[in-house]
Amino acid sequence: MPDGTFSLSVLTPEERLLEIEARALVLRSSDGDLTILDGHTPLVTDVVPGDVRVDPEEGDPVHLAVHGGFLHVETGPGIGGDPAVRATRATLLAGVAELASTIDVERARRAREEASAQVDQLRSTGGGEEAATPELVESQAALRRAEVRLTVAGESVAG
Amino acid sequence: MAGGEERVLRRRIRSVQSTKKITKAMELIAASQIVRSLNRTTANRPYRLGMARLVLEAAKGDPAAAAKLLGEPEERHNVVVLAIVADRGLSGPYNSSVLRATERLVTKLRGQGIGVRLFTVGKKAQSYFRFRGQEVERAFTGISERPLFADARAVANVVSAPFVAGDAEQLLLVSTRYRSAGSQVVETRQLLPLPEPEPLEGVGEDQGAGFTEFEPDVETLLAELGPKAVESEVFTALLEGAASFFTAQQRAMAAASDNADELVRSLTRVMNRARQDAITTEIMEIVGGAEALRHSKGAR
Repeated sequence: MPDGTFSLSVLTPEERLLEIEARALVLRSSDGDLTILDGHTPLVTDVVPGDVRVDPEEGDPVHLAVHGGFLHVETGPGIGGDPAVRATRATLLAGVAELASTIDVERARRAREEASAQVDQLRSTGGGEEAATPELVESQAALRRAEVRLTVAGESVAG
Repeated sequence: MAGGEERVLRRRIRSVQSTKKITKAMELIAASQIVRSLNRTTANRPYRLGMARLVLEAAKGDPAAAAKLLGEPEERHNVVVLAIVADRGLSGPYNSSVLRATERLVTKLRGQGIGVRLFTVGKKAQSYFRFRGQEVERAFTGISERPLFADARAVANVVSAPFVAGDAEQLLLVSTRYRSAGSQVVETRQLLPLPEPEPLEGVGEDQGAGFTEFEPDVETLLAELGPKAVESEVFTALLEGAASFFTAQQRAMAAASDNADELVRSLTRVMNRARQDAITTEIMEIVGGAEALRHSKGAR
């Protein structure tokens, strides 16, 4: 669209989380922070776990907790369906992601405690740091997911 | 005696009728589950397509890196095979067709001197291979009917570990694809290395091709993308497997219910004849008895 917005979809394997016209998309890749605006160069990048901000066409910014994924930005004629118009489409693919408004803070807090206890226990029984069993990796991932959820939920409350 | 035969038949009819009630109920439950499974499969499609587009984009962006990481492996010494079936039976050929295809594949690979490490989803696979003395490295159960993405991720992590560690050169998946309500087919597909992407609808050559930036570079991205794509593929396979399972179960249970109807009909026919025979015999006996009495009276 020539009006400074672009179409954004946030997709997870379970659902289409978000499908809107956005002014800006702010996220962090392994190379650093990124802001995507209308007309951005075609890009493929990874997305590190954390907060993702979407500024919709109207209204308040939407925050998302994204637990790792990829961003695909396409810009060119015909992207929006009309071959004569140059448009931008951004697709954020995440294995696990949720809207900040749907995060259950209490549950995330409990999950963080459980996961951190489990990590400690697996570390002490696993014998050394380098013994990365699948269970340890999984509980570390669970711990990180809980932390990201809490951060994102906190941020959206703060501003 | 004839009355005994009738009683036996009546009992059999009742037992067939109660079996039919069960199969009918299972048919209806399966039918409602099909809809739910299909909705989830549909919800999964955009993500899967998005993943495929990413791989395609990356392959276009740096064909040299893509050639290294995508496509058929040059040599195969060890192959990981993942078979996806259900936990329950009563679903016609759903489980057995996947399991037989898996067994054929394993035998073929071993025949070529390739080491095979077998992983399975579904209780039915576990018992099938245990009975045949085939070693299953890890069997996942309890997830096949209502798979969550977290389940898919757990399975994907385990089955791709040998490939990631360099202990295996290929990861193959045997599962049932849900093509349409009328067609579900067993398919063997390669998950790792990532298959060469096929051209997709809506991704024309002219659409910004060659200008796309990659952060980090394509090789790093593809290496990161690999495990994620496997998660996505396993999840899709689990969802389609569940939908196919319920479809197969519904079909099997509908056939069983029809069969029960037919059985009741023919048993009823046999029973009626038996009853009629019994009545006829009884009348003949009475008439015969009365006749005999009359004769003896007349003789007196």
